[in-house]
Amino acid sequence: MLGHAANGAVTSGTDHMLSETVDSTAEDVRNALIRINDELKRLGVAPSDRDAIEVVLAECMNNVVEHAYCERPGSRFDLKLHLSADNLFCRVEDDGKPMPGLALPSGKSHNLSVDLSDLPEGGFGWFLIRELTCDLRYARERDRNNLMFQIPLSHDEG
Amino acid sequence: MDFETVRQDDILKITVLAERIDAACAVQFKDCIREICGNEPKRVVLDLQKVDFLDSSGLGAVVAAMKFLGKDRQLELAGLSDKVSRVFRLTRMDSVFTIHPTADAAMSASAA
Repeated sequence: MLGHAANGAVTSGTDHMLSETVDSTAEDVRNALIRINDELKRLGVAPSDRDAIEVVLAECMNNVVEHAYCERPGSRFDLKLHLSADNLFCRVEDDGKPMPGLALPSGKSHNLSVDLSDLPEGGFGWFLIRELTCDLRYARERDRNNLMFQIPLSHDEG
Repeated sequence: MDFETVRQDDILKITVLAERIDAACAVQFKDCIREICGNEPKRVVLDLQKVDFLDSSGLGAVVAAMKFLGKDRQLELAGLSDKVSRVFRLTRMDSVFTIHPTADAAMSASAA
């Protein structure tokens, strides 16, 4: 059975597909995150899973806007989500600059035992992505960046 | 970006009225906090109870606010939702800040 909802959502059996085309601005990333969260809530995804998904998708999409498109508005990128019973499969595709060295940043945790003035104000994004995802992969194909990963669902209501 | 401020003795409580501290408003957030805090007071309590979502840019902006206050003044956090507190916990930034369950608890607590 196929059913349609807002913003390119398709239902097939127990699986759901969501897709978003997002403008290369932080404001449009925010709007996409709000739409996705509403849709996942409607589909009955547990609050703690939606929280993790929102954090990961925010970091991935902000990276595309900031690094692949260098914060220049006027470009677009695609987000494709496949929700199954125990996993959210995600794919982010953009036409921006490749990842440096064609590899994913390591996303190491910071040393926080430092002077106040030396505390990091950035570089948390890839660390959060790596903490909350599994099977994280990156490929550069036909001048497009493809970032793929899964977010395991805990179904925890907390 | 909207904030509500309450001054009580040498404590300034800043309630963030925005629902999100994210990449779209992180720079504005930093600028506003600097302007609101100025050169005083000793303790600043940032009440995040209305904030539903914070990303790594927002986290960086909160860290920047603490650095702006310097060593002689204190930035304390209050009212973190589960979602917001998870980002602090995962990045271990919860070990860097004094975090109170509520702004009221922060206001009645003596300086950390």
